[in-house]
Amino acid sequence: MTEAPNSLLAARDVSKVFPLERGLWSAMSRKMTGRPMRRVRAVDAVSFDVAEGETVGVVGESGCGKSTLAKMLAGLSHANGGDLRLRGVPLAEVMADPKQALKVQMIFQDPQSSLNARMKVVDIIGEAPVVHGLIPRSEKEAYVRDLLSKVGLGPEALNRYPHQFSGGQRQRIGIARALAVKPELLICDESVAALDVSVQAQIINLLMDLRRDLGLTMLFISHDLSVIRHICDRVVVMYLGRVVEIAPTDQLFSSPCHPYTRMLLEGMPRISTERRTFLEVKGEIPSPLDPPPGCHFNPRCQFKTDECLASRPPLDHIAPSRSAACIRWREIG
Amino acid sequence: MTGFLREFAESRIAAFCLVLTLLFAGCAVLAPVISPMNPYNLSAFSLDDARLPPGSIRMERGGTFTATLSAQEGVAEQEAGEAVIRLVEEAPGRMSLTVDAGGAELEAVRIQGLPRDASVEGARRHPIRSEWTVTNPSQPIVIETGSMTPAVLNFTVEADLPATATGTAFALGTDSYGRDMLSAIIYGIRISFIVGAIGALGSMIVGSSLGLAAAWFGGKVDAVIMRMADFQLSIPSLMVGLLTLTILGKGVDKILIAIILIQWTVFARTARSVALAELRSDYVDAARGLRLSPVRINLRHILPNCLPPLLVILTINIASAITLEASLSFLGVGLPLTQPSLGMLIASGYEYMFSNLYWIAIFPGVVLMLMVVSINVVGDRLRDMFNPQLKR
Amino acid sequence: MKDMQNVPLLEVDGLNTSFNTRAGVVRSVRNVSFEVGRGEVLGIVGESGSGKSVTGLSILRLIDPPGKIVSGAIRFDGEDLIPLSERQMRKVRGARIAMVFQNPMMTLNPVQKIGDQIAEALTEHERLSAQEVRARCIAALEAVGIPSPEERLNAYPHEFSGGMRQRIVIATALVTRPDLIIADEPTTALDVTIQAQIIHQMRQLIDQTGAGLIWISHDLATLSELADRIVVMYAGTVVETGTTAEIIGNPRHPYTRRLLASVPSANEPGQPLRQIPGIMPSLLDIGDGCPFASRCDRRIEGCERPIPAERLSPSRSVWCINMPEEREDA
Repeated sequence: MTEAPNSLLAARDVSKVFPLERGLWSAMSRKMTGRPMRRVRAVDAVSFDVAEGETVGVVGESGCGKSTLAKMLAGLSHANGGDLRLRGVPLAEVMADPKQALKVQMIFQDPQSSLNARMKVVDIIGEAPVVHGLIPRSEKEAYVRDLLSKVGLGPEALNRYPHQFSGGQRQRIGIARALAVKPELLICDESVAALDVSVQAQIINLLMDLRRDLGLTMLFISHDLSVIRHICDRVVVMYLGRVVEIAPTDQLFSSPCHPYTRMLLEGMPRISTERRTFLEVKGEIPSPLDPPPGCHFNPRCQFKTDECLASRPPLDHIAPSRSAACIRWREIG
Repeated sequence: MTGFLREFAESRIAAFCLVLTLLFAGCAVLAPVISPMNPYNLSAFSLDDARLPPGSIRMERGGTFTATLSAQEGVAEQEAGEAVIRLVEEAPGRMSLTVDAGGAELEAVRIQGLPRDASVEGARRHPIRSEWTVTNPSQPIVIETGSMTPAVLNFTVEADLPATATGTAFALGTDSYGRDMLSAIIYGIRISFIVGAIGALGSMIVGSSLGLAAAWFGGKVDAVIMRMADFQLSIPSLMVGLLTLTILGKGVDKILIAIILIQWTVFARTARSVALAELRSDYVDAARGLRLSPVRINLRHILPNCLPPLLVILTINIASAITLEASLSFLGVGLPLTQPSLGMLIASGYEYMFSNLYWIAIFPGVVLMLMVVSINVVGDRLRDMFNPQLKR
Repeated sequence: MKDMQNVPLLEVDGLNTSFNTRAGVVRSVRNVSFEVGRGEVLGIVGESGSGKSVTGLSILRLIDPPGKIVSGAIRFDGEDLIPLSERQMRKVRGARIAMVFQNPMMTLNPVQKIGDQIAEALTEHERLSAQEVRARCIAALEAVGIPSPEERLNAYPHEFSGGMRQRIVIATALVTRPDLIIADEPTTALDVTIQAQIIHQMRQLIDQTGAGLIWISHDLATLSELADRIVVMYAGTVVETGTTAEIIGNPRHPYTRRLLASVPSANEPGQPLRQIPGIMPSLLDIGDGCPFASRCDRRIEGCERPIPAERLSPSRSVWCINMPEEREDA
């Protein structure tokens, strides 16, 4: 993959490994027996690009590493390997400069725990811009009031505490907090998953409006394919720490090239008046602590061959801005 | 705030104990104003007042007139203040002495410096000195000099006016120094309360900071701080206190150091465990993502969320700090005798327990117990209220 | 002798459940009525605060103080459950009505083998030999699709994945062969592929055993794939009931219609979703009028008064006095 000219974020073979053993005892026993350290590859050599102004979806089930990836991109944890760049600058350098680091902001899943229950809204939103000198302290209230109106809240919210708001309103406050430091890249980690259907629609609309008005680039992480389909330009599908498919949204939904993507799409609940015929039970997601050899998906895959067990299939470039990590994608797609 | 108080008062006992605690706190603050005497003013004590039972009236010692007489042929007259002392010879070797204090009754008259063979009628002689004491003197006092009246007789007369009752009473009796127990207890509450509150507050500041640091940094910092706490907890707290005070010496500041040394562990452990839970919350990640400084995140974001359990522990630790100070003072390593705390008072009364002088130890003991129990009940109630599982 | 054909398995009639809080009375469930037949899957759909979970708990009389069932009847097999003593109620719970919750770890005891946990549900209500208990447990685990159940009986809950744990909970509910199962958001915490599997299996089980199933969910898509009939709840009351085809194909209550229109799959990708503005009203001291009135664009005079049910067909009722027209394509 080559870097696109207007690339904002570029990830090349990014990995995050968590050690499962700590402490003196396990270090000694490893030394004695010579066995390797047990570790989990939460994110395993992941590569993708996000162009300026684009909305990229990351979809996958629990344990696929999408939240770990989000934390790395937001600078909340460090990658163990690979190369992460923001506008060509290594992310570690970006994060070392507070002003630059603010360009990447995150919107969290749980509107309950993502707001500090003991701070007023005006401080939750206004603290960081004042601390970083983006605005003088005297303008804090006016600045926050302006942001609140951008996310659809009235100025009466200023001096209230988070518990005085509904879930959807809290999520709006969380969005305003991220916007307060004028980010360029917004990472939404399951940001609408905890919301009710009617509230979810409101927040999705808000995010789409803000994206348009402020020219934001978004990385939208979700397990909900219908939401991904609605707001994303391109989708990255992850399974057990690896990228299995990258495709423009319409192509992904019309002709998935990886058997896992197909399974996800078939399992996606649809609102329909006809009762659906379900797939046969095809096994559980294996534990990320002990992933299957070769292609991680092989135990659940109906297209499995011996080759799938032998080695990790490469993420092949199969069409313009499309890649899939399956050796039999031609037969599937 | 009113809602909080109303909820608190749903437990009647807790409400009562809160009032009691506030009363003690009031005593602590207003001690100099409300206590009848200043128990630190040692010069104001009188041994005459020592070990008086509760309800005794304080007596003011009457004035004393002193005059040195030099009698010529058994006759002398001397003024002593407002009194006039006269000596008249009645017969050879027999003189009568009158002390005219303006008509006032006298409590006692002491005559010193009489010749060896002289005697005073109805008086008690000092076993060693040449001093005769007449109690309830009926005037005149008769002095006999044996054979005949000497030509010159020099002696000193001291006449005591009787003690008068003053307005003040010792409501709770006095201790062995004649110190008013009520005042001593009020000042004792002050010392105990201040030592308890400042000690526990200091422990909270030290302990919470260390706990937050342990949670935030994790790894080696965490290990060092928490192993220190574990080690500390394996030594009995009284032992830590005794050791500290033995090394540092007596005094309020030394006691505070001992209390902080003992109590920081509880706060550190609680702050660490609560902070660890808070650190997993998204709002901490949000704050880190907004590039706020670790100090700011810890103090402005995490600490306020850890406060409820810490405040509960604070109240309970105030009570335990008071007990600790009392124990140390009782053992004699705490506060100096001149600034008695409740523990000190109990200790000094302890020796008189078996001689029926119950009030010296019992009253400070009861007050100490009430104070500790009521603070603990208040702490328990706070714990119940902050426990979401019991909340409805 | 009861006429088994005409008495519905469960009939909830005018149920009211309230919670007395410091702030006032929260009327979580107001005048809720519905029926469940044998072999039928009834979906209760609603957003958080709609009273769907409280309705489920009320049926089993699992409302703890300060909550209280204020009025109404819950007729199970023709017998009202509300006057029953706690002892009689315990015989009904587990044996005849089973409940499955969202979080399996709340139901499973982490330090007990799953075989023992399933057996406990069984021996609580029936006297069986050890072999019979074992056979029934294995059969229940098989029914929910757990591979090699004989070996898994001795495993502890933590040895299973989230999806497997939820299957075990469902097996525990099934093992007593209850007449009615109440499942409260049982697949919400699970991944899409696992959710599809479990829904598939539940459908099969209901078809095989002829038990009734109440499936409580916020997810219209899941319900549309599983339920025979749907009860739509909003802010504590039922706004519409009908068969799944009726509700999904031709919603008549403004709330249901707008809710269905607001989901992403009902909208053109990239276009703004047809959102419902506003928020759900507080249930604190809420009145008896239509709770959706404040957000409704069809609000008219009279919406603030109690709304009578409009019976459109034997299976269908709508609580609205100003219904939108039927859809032409329906």
